[in-house]
Amino acid sequence: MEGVEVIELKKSYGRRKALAGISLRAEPGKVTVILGPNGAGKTTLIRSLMTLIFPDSGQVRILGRDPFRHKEVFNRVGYVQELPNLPPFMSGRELLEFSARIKGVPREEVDHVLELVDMRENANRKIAKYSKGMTQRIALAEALLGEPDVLVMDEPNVGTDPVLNLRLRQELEKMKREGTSILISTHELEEVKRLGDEVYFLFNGELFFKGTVEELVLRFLGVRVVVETCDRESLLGVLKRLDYVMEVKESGNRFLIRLSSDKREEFLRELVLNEVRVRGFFLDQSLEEAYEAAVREAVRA
Amino acid sequence: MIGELILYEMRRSVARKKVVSLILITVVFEVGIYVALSQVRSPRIEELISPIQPILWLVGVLLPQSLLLHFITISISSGSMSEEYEQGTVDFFLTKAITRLKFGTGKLLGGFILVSLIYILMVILAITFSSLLFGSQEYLNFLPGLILTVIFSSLTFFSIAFMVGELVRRSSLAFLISSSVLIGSILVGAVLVFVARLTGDDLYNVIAIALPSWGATELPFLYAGGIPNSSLIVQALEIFPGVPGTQIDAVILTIGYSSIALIISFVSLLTRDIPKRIA
Repeated sequence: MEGVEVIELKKSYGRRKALAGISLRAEPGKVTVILGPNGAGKTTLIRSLMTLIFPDSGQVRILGRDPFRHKEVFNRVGYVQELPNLPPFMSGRELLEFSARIKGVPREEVDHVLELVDMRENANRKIAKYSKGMTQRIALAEALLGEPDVLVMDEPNVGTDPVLNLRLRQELEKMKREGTSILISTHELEEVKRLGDEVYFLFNGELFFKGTVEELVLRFLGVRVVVETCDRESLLGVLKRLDYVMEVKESGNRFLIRLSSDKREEFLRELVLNEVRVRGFFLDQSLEEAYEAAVREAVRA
Repeated sequence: MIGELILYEMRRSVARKKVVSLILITVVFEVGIYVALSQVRSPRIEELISPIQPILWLVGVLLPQSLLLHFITISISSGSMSEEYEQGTVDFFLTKAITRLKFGTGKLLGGFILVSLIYILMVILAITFSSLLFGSQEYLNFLPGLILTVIFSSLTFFSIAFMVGELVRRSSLAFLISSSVLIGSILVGAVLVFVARLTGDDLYNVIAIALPSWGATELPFLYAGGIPNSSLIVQALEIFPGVPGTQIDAVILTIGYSSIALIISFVSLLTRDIPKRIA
């Protein structure tokens, strides 16, 4: 398989299981997100993938090859560390040129990625003199060097400003369209909502949930729809008759309605049949709340 | 790729204040000893220096070997791996198409080439100042062999410090442990040699020779002993005078200690996890 594949990966530190048989796939043209609270095993998983940690058992495949045996595969992989640590005595440009030589990427690409992260003007300063955000920009530029087929990012938004986040998002969307496999471990749920195609939720080294963002919300938060209408009485009349309506919260012309199961289509049909004048109807996807609910459920489990 | 890593390691080491300070101290010593010898002109000193004036280059060539070069070596080598772990920069390299073996080899070679270049700089200073201040120098045909023995014998503590750095992954601790091994080994060796003289029991000499410091410090002195009229200089600078070891013993011990230390270093590097930044 192209992209990234992790099969039954296990890693323990003494009696503590950091990874208890995790399997994962990050397919080309998709953004795969690893979610989970601190200590869930996200970083151990990514570091195992990047050959920094030797798993106790299981397999890792990047672009169909075992990266522990075929390190050359990393010429096609971009990696952003959480809080990147780069050689402080080098300048940003020197670092990128060094990386370009190792990856076999033409030197001209360096200027392109520097432009992308808006670091051309500061490229000749020593990394030791950079702010946290500037270091993060250089790390991103380094990861994007040579248009990698696989991009692995561990908390890429730490220390970055909104402008860079926007650029990064645009670049990721472009790479996704071009078929890059993108694997991100993050706590930035807004980014997950915008970019994530598949979510792996880890807890205590185990895979607790796998699915799309929508599925995550549905599973842990239930179905919540927002109806916008001026026709309050008609709407309330319909809601009273439907046994799958669990909860209604009213806020001006907005009604937040929790359904016992995914009966969105049926509910919408009822509103239309009863001639409720609906101005807006959409699914409420509060990923933050879903995430919190998932953590709660994982703790209980 | 190894070439890139060698250059990286040399630049990284030179960027460190500790290493630069040690090099500067050594250069000051190197120049200072010749200036001092040329300025102090008492009849006794004149009498002593006069027969060895044509081989005074040997003082500058052997002086760093006694101790300072080993400290520079330890300073460079102990930080070679440990600082990468401390700063977290090891992640940058090992998530590229660079195997751990190549990474370790590149760093090892880079550090060792830098030590060799620093020593060659000292040799150049020694030849220049001895010639300028004491006239034409003789027996320079011994110089290449002497340089080789000094560089070769620096391998012992270079490898030990590299190993300690890889094992403990903390630069200050690695420098402290490696320096303690050097100083401790010299002190214990000196005591053993003294006890051997007092008791006449050669076993103490054998133990002193087997310590890492003897092979690491004595080989160049044993080689320099072949230069005519060199005994005064050799005895003045030698750490273990009068110990009955041979050049072959020193070579074997240097190879032995270096090999063991390097094998342990690479087994550790190739098999241990790289944790997230320690410091």
